[in-house]
Amino acid sequence: MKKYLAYAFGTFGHDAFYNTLSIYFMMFITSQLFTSGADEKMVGIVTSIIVIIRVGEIIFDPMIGGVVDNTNTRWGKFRPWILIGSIVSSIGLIFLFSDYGGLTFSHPTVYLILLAITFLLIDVFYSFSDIAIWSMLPAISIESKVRTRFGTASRLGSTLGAQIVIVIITPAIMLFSHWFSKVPFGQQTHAGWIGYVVIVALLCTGGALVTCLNIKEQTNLIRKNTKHTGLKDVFRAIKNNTQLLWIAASYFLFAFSYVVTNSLLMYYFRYRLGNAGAYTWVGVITCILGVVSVSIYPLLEKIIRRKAVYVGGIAFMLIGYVIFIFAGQSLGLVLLAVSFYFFPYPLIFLATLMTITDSVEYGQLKNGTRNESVTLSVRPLIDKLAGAASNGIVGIVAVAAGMTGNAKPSDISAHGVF
Amino acid sequence: MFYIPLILLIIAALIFFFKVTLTEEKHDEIVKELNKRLEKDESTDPDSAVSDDNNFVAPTTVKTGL
Repeated sequence: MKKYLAYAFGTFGHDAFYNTLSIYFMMFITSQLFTSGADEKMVGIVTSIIVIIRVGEIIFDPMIGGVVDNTNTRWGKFRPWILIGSIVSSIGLIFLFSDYGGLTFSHPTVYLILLAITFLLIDVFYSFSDIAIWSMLPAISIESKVRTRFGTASRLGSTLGAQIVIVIITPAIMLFSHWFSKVPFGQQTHAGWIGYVVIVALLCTGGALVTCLNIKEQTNLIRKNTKHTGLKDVFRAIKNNTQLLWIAASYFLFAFSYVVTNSLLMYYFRYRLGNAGAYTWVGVITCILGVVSVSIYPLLEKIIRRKAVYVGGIAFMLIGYVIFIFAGQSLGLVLLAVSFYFFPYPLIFLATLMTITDSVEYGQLKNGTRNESVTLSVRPLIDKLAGAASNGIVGIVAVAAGMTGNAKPSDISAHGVF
Repeated sequence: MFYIPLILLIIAALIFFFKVTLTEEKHDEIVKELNKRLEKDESTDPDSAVSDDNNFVAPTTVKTGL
């Protein structure tokens, strides 16, 4: 039990960190750093830098997996990367949420260069610890059953970590602003943001430390069957693992579809229902159902096996879609559809994760050598790819359907939405 | 436009259903097979560690039906 908690604590801090970086950094930039209209150009440049680094980093994930696979220390191959990755990216995060000692305004060009370097370092080191922490799964045990328990624990931790950030960020910043800057409670200051970011950095590093102190990789005959992974070997390990490729193909379509639907929903609430505020309910529903569905995964897997979990989960989502199509402007029906749609998501994620974890041995049998991190790096890679691809598509679709700016629900036809 | 993600979901389910054969049971078999091979490998060649890969059967020659 202690080990599951330790693993969950690691992914908790890890995802709290990720959400802070991916959602709230831009909010900080626009609400604290560049507040006047004249700074619009800087906001644009910062946004471009971030997008370029994030998209560019994706292709390096398998190579990062290769580096982790080649690591051999007395603490194993994962723990050094989990710890180093978390510490470096946490320190980077604190710098990122600052004005670099005033350089932001005195020397904007220097600031932008420093920001790009910091963001690149954070992104790369975060990926190291991300890949290392998730690819420990095939190393903790060779048995599917034990892996499932650890996988479930880590997903529970990461879900809670990602959600907690959304819940606590505003009150935390207000509280720290009140303490540090002596402003009336309710206002946000730069010092308040820094206080919040330090907490997230501590959660991430602390969680990594707890995981590293409590979780050990197993030593056994199968795990010893490795050799040095060169650049070509990285791609061979993925290409020859046909099961991994099929899972990846299926999961990419799934993840892409999921992210697209997610963003379309936001538009739907705003422009079709004319009730952007009600979108908060989607967050509440996802959060509660998410925790329930992660928790029942091991039981479900035992009863119906993971293939049925994956395919059945998608069937559930399709029911959600059908309800949605008939829901029109009824908030109740839309929320019912949303519940059907979001409930299976973590189950499908876990079914995928566990199958990818088990595909390590499949690849080992085919390739004659074992690649844990390279194999497991495929999952975050697909999630990132799907996110990037959907960003592009959704923008195009929203414009095509007329859901931009101040358009009203009545302007958008049902035909345009579907 | 909600139909596009809907169709993608169906394709995803079909691929997983027909193409992903790596079930929990299949994984158990693979682990047994790996253990058997690696043990054999170790006993026939005690000087070299398994990881040295000298005696390891080339993947192309292995057809196990897995």
